[in-house]
Amino acid sequence: MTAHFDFLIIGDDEASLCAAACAQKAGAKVAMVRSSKSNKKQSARALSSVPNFIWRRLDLQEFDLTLDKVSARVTLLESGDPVVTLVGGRDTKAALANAGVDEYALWEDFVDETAVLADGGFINSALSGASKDGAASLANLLGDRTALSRASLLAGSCRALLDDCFEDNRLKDHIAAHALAPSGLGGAEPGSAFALTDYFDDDAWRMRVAGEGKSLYEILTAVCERSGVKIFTKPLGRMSSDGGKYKTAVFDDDEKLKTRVVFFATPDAAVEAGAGHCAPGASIRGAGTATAAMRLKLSEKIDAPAHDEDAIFQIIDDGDDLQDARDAAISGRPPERLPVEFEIAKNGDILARSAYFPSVFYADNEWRGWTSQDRQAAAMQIRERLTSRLPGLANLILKATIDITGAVSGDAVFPDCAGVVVQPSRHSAISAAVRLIDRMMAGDG
Amino acid sequence: MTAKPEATQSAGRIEGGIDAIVIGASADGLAAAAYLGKAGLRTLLLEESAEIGGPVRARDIAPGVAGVDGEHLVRILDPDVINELELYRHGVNYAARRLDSVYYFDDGETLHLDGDLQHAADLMLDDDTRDQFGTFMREALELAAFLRPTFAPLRSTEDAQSTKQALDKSVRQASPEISALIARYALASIEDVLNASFDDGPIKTLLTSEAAFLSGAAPHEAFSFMGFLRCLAGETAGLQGAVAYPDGGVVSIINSLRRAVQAAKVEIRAAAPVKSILIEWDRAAGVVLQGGGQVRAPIIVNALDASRAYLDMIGPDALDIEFQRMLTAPQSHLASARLQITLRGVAKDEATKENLRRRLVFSPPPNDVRRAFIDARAGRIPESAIVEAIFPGALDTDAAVDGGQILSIVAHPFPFDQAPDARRRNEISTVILAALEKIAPGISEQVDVIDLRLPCDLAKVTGANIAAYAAKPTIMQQWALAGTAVSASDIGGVYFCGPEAQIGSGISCTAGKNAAKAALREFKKEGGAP
Repeated sequence: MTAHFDFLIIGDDEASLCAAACAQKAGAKVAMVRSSKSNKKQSARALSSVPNFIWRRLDLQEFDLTLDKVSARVTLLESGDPVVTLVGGRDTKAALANAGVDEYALWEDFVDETAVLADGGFINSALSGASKDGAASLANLLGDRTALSRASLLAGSCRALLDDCFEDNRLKDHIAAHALAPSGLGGAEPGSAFALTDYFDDDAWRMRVAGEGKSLYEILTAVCERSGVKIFTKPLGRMSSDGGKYKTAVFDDDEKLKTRVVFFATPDAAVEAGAGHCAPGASIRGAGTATAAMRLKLSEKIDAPAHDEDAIFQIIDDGDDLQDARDAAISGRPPERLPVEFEIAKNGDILARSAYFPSVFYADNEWRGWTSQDRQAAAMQIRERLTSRLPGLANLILKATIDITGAVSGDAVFPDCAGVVVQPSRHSAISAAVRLIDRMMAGDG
Repeated sequence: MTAKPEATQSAGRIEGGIDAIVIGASADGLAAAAYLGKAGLRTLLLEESAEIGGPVRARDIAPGVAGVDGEHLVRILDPDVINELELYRHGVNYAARRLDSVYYFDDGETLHLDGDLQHAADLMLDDDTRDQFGTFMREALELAAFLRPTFAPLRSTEDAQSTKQALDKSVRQASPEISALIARYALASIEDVLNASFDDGPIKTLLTSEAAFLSGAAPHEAFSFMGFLRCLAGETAGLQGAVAYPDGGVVSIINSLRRAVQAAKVEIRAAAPVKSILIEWDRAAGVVLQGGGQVRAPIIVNALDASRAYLDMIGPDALDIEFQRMLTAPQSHLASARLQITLRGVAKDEATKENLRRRLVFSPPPNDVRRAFIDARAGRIPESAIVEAIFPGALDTDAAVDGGQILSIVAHPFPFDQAPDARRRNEISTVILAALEKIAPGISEQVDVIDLRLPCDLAKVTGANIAAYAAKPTIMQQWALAGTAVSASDIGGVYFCGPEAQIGSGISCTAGKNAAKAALREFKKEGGAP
């Protein structure tokens, strides 16, 4: 007898685990498929916040878990001092004033304004999968001039929105880098303004596990297991639908399960599983690029830029790099000036990442997948970008590893998208995934 | 035809006895004037240049060879306007009510698609394609028809409410599938939707071209799919989503509108540029002409681009800051190119002659289309472009040229240039000619005259802000801009139907109709005579 589930969650990250645990605890039957290739301790990297409501629902207080907010967002431009913004508006103003950014006084107004925009009705609800009331919410949007004008700003480019608010290019480049780089977006494309507002969401500020305890990934895995989520760690072979309420998932070893909904907490997970085409609207939040994540082991700890080793750092030469890099990546070429994000782990490792790699390469009039040379070239490129901002780094590197996600693997496991839900990439990934699965359970999506 | 020129000695003169003034004799301006005149208002239509038609006008592209600037096909012309202004009686006649399309692909393959999209799928040979295409087209046409009311610009909060009510009503009747599709398609990119519906192949390639044609957003970018639905929402000659060619070219629509205007006893005054709108006690009182004279009237319908209509003629002091921001913000970095070519020699064989009466489209591979948008937005001339070509002479005997042919082309996307130099113009022509070689190998050898028209050329003729002729931004932005533009002034008696009031590209006249109807409602409420 084949087991029946309400949700099959495919993914190997904290957002997927949170969504699985929350849905199971709320009474759904949940199965999870995790990648079998690695059992990485993901939480070394800073993650989006775990909001209080999730904390309470999963009884996370029972674990020895403390999350610290990332101290600052720092951008290392081609020249000049680092640009720094902090959690608090007042601290940020002071930091900007120190860095010689003239418009520091506008910061708080800007944050308030984008918060109003981020409330963004129609687009937000369409993105979070509230599809059943699509026509009604469009009617509401068109009947409300203020909402429509906000939606139009969100449908526009990040660059246009920033140009409206600030004159100072260094500040604009800084904001754009932190808002867009995590999803590999460009600043000039329609919809990139949405990423900008999303980035000021309360749940978007990133957190790290404090101290030496278990990673959030391990804790959430334990919560899932304890609450009864069925976890599979083996590859999924194919997916079929007989037109009824259930889709059938068949594993490589022929084990089967049936599920009402297949849920992806990130578009990358969907691409890896061969369901990238099931994510309409994903383009608003970056799609079509692959992410390279690197870990550099160093012989000794490096001096952190801006004297802050708990910050998240972005490397760009200037704001145009973002769109140029995205254009290159989706045309199948690695970008020339690669935007790179990095942070310094507790043990001194450097964790670097860039979402501006092609998911498929185009060369000599042909499309082809990633090769080991491509991986090496990507690693070299990230290293070069890091050493350009961290003098002395080159001599400290003991070992470097690279991991690519979002690369198109070829076979489409999903023949059609009925019953497949893909959460677009969000700054507030964890909270967005749980809210989306809640809405579906409430019969909204 | 040139309308009556304005007497130059108008300085200092004040004219009265007029109910309504329409500024700008574009298609929308003409439609608005015809509606007002037909309703019995003493109406004056002021056009700054010597000719009417806005960007759409006849012009000799070579000695003795007449071409048509602006548009070359009709897609979204408002059926209400045709009926209510009796345009058939005033000379509109379709030489082809629904043009079949032939798509040419990079690999030399071609595909012929019936002009009736609802039936086009039935004619396809292989079952899978027929099913995929049939399902997709049915959904897209149904959704487009459902969304049709949202593509008409709104005049006021009242209008917005009534549209919302109308939508609410149809929402209640709509199937849950439609509602789900709206949420899905509103944000989606062309690639998202097509990848979810089709395998790679000619159908996906041609739909990418159709959806990306004239679009201000690239096919991989959010919100780009809705532009295609807007196009499918149009109804030409009673058929949804069809493309038509009027006898005499699109300029014949302008001519029939002019006849409707004349039949409605509207006075058309050409070469009469307006300097500003006269405002007294927060109400429109008339216009001040460039020549110095004044014409007084309680209703002003402005069909010029929003920047001139509002910033120049009313002035920033009377305008909302947010609206000024919208007007000055660059909306698009893309533009289309219009090319007219005269060819030596005429096709003799029947097969070619058959194709001359169709709409010929070069559809580059989807990845090339994507790259073309990226290049064009970055200011580079793309390596390939989507090209739509027709032979007016084959569709319409009046347009035939002795011993030769005219080929009329619209190509997209190109960079939006303020002032391209000769070399750049040449590069654009070269890209288009290369695409034509895919349609008709060897055609370059027969080319006689090449006539390229870019937004800056149109602006030079009409006097409009060049930005009015850039590719339109996403539908979401067009909704907001149109909504704001038509209701931007709190000044009583001022109505707007310029290009920003229209959602989608092509001749539509809906904005002109709506502006006139709103003016008439107000006029009656104020106790106007008719």
